[in-house]
Amino acid sequence: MKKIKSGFILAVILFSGLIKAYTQTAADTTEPFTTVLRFTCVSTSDDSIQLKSVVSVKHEEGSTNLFNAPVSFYSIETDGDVKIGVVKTDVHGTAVLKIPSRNTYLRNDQQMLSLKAVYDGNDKYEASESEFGLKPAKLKVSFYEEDSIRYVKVEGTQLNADGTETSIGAVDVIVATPKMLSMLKLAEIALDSTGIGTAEFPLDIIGDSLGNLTVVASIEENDIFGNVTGSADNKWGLQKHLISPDRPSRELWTPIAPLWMIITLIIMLLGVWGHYVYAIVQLVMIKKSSKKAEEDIVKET
Amino acid sequence: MENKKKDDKNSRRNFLKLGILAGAGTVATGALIATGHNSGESGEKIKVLTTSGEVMEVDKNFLVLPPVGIKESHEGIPGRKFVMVIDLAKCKNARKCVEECQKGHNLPKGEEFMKVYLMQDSEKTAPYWFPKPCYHCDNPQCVSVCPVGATYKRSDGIVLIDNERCIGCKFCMTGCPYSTRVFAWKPDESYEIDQPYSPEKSVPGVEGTVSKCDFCPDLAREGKLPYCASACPMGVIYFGDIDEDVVTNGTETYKFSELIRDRSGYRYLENLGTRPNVYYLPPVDRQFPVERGLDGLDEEIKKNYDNTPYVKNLKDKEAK
Amino acid sequence: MSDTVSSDKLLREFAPQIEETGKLGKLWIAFLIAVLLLGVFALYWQVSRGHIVTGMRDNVVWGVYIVNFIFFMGISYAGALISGALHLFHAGWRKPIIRMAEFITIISLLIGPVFIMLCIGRLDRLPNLILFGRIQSPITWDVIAISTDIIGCILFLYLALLRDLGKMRDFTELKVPKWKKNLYKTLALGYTGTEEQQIRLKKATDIMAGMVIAIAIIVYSVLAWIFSVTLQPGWHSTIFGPYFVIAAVYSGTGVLIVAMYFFRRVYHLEEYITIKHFVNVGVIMLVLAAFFGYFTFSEYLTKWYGSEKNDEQLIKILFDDYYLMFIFSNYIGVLVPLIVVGFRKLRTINNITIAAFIVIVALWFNRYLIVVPTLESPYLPIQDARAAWANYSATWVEWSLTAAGVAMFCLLFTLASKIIPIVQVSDLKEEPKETGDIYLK
Repeated sequence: MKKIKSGFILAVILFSGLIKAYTQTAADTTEPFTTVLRFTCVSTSDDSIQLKSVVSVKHEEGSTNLFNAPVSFYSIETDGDVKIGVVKTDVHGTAVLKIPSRNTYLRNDQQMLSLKAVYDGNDKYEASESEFGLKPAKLKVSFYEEDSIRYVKVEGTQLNADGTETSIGAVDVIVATPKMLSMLKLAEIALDSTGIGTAEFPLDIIGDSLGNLTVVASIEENDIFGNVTGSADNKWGLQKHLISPDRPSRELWTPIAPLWMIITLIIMLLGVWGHYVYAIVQLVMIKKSSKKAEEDIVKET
Repeated sequence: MENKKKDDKNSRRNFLKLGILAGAGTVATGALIATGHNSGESGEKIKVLTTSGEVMEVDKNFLVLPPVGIKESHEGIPGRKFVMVIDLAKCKNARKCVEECQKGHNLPKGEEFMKVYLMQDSEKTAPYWFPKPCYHCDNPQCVSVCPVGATYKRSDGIVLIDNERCIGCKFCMTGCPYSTRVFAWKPDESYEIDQPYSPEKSVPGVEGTVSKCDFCPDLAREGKLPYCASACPMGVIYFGDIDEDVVTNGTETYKFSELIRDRSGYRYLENLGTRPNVYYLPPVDRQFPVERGLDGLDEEIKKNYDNTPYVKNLKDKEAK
Repeated sequence: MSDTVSSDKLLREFAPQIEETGKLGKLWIAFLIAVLLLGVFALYWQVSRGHIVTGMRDNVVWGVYIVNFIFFMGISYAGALISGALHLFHAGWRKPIIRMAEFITIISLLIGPVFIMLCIGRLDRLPNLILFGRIQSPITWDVIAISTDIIGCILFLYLALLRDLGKMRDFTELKVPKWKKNLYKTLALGYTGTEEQQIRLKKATDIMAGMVIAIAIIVYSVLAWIFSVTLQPGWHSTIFGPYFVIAAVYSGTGVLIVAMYFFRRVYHLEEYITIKHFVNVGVIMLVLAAFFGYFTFSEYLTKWYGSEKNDEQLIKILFDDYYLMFIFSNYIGVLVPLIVVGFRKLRTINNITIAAFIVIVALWFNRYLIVVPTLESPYLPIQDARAAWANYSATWVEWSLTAAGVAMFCLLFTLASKIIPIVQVSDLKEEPKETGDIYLK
């Protein structure tokens, strides 16, 4: 969620900067810009496949993501391409479409779906497209404890064209937990022929303030399954120690000064100003006495 | 929690506006939430060129959303304590960290938040490249001596400067033993860019005030690495949350405590007692010979190292 | 009443300097104003073009301005400690010079802080010092201490002036404009010298004499702490407080002697300011020279013997790059007054004044050597090809403003002597009635 939340401000700023650059370049060139479309698919544990494409434009200064570009997703089938849907890219240049794992799109002889993302382009930007093939699959993450040792267990299943589920076979799976900026790898598991693999769960991983951890198992860029992820939560993390409660409140560098510094200052100021006041009082008395003397003189005369 | 919900609502509303403007609003990523600011419409419209080649008018506030405000920037990101680890074994003075940082913070030429030193601890010891950001000390001398609280330490450990409060007395510059801080000595066009100011971004700079490396909390809020860390081609700079015990350079992720233990991590000038939040991994089993760092540098930048014993030695040898 | 007679006589004698300004005097004032205008132009230059016009850069962030700030704050000691201490010790000979010392104090106290403001990047944000003041910062202590000091010194000077103001109000022969007469009348508070008034005045003066000494020590220590609370090599020193205090009084006596010399010549005060005064202040200067030399020696000796890398580097810079300045400020500046005042035969007015002048210059250099070389030898080596970033040298802007500061000092001193006699006229010849000492009761 955090990741999705991310980058809005910056991307928008970058984007606006880029547009400035374009207004200049676009004006004096008739050649359309080359675009690049990156396309990946991920089978997720909620029985769906996420089709994700990122469209970017190549220019002199590198490349920048394209905003508001319509990306069409197709299933490549023997009788021609079947359109799945059209999504416009967001400010990150990303267009995402979710389709259910159990679908009617035609598979090839390896039981793989062949998917394609296409950006049609226009007179300013060239068209681009990319293909991705995968067989829908699923990873299930679970935890168990044996002889007071904790384990993480991953089960992989694949979804056949006839709708049956069979085990995924020998595949490497990475088990990781999401952290502030990246995924922290916990284990690498090789699933056996039954599609099951286990690994000892490390004891010293820090979770949230209650010790909750999200554990994600993933297969990345597999020839058959493409990308597959599955996740589960446990409470095996160490509790995150929050520094805020025991943050010192009166230090040399805090907004509020240490108590004894304030006391010392007050003592010194009172001492000095007390003496000043004494001297000023003497002056006032001198003034008063002179007035009295004047009045006496007036009375006498 | 309640606050967050409110914010989400606000920004969703904003997003909807943007969606209508852009004509998108489809399946998309679903949630472009998070700014937490009800910026409202400024009324000022900016013309932009969309991908379809059309000219479109977009409210300015949607393009440049205000960053975290000054008051909020005093608080710190809740539940975080940032830490940086710099692997000296991998640094070859590519200077990408410096350049990206300068670009990201819109710094005038010659002003660097991140500096790369050519260090040699003593005559017979080996020279090495030493990138130096702000250490964001836990006992920050600079903050202690600031007369107006313009530089402050937040709950997430980051030491920031409020350039709208700073009076420019430079006391913090003498207070910092690491020569981290820079002063805006003259008016510069880079200070005049039209962008709302935030201490978290250090942009735009203000003439006559002090600034320095800010650990890019604005990027951290977006789940991104600081400019220097993501720019480094060698993955020298790791960044993370020390309470989470995880640091990453974008490609590799390590447990902070293991990295420090296995690679004998240390802090620079530990004896000063400033308790920095930047750790160094010593330059052992280096990936590059030190002289590689002098290759391909601009003449101007190369001159900076002319007075180091190492470069002097090199020149003497060449002369012979 | 012999008191009245004698002070009338004195007033008659001093009347010309208050009543009119000679050609030479006018020329002098015009010259000072010209220098001041140069400073105003330099200030405009700095404000309009930014601090880039100074020699200060990211490593040496403080330069001549801070040196001047310390210097002027230092000479403000002349009045505070010298007049306060002499008053408390009932040194009868102090009376002809005490007024001068007090003028030096107040005028330099007004000029000093201006220099720290020149060093500040955003003058428009000065109110932040009060709006957002943090009491952990030595600069906040400085703001509090200096303002307290200024008020205390003005109060002390006023107490010392009160009797004279009364005399001048009553002295009908004085040919001055009406506003000056009214000024004297208002300020005199109706002081006529009744016994009650005398006792009250004595009490207040005694209290304030003690206070100005105390507050002056605090102010100068606070100034030293601005440097010594940082971790910079050469600054992070425990003796900096007392060292600065001694250096300050030392430079203060120097300025007092030079002022005595000029006023004696210009206003023909040979009868009142005699060789005795020069020798007496000279002896104070001698004692302070010894203390100053001692502090300087122990400050550098420990650094020299200790082999800490950065201290070593600092000592090297001091002896290599600042060799002449170092020798002048820490050897010549200490030995000359010791020799000149130490040997009876050398004690002439001219010699003592020359020695005092050397002390003033040496002490200015001393502050320069404290501020600049330290900033040129930070913990991390300076690796910057830009020469200005590595080594500091002041620009014309900084020198002009420094000159303007000195001119301002001379101008205010001259103008003050046009309003109030530079020598205390009341009871110059007589000791005041013994009313008991507030501190020794």
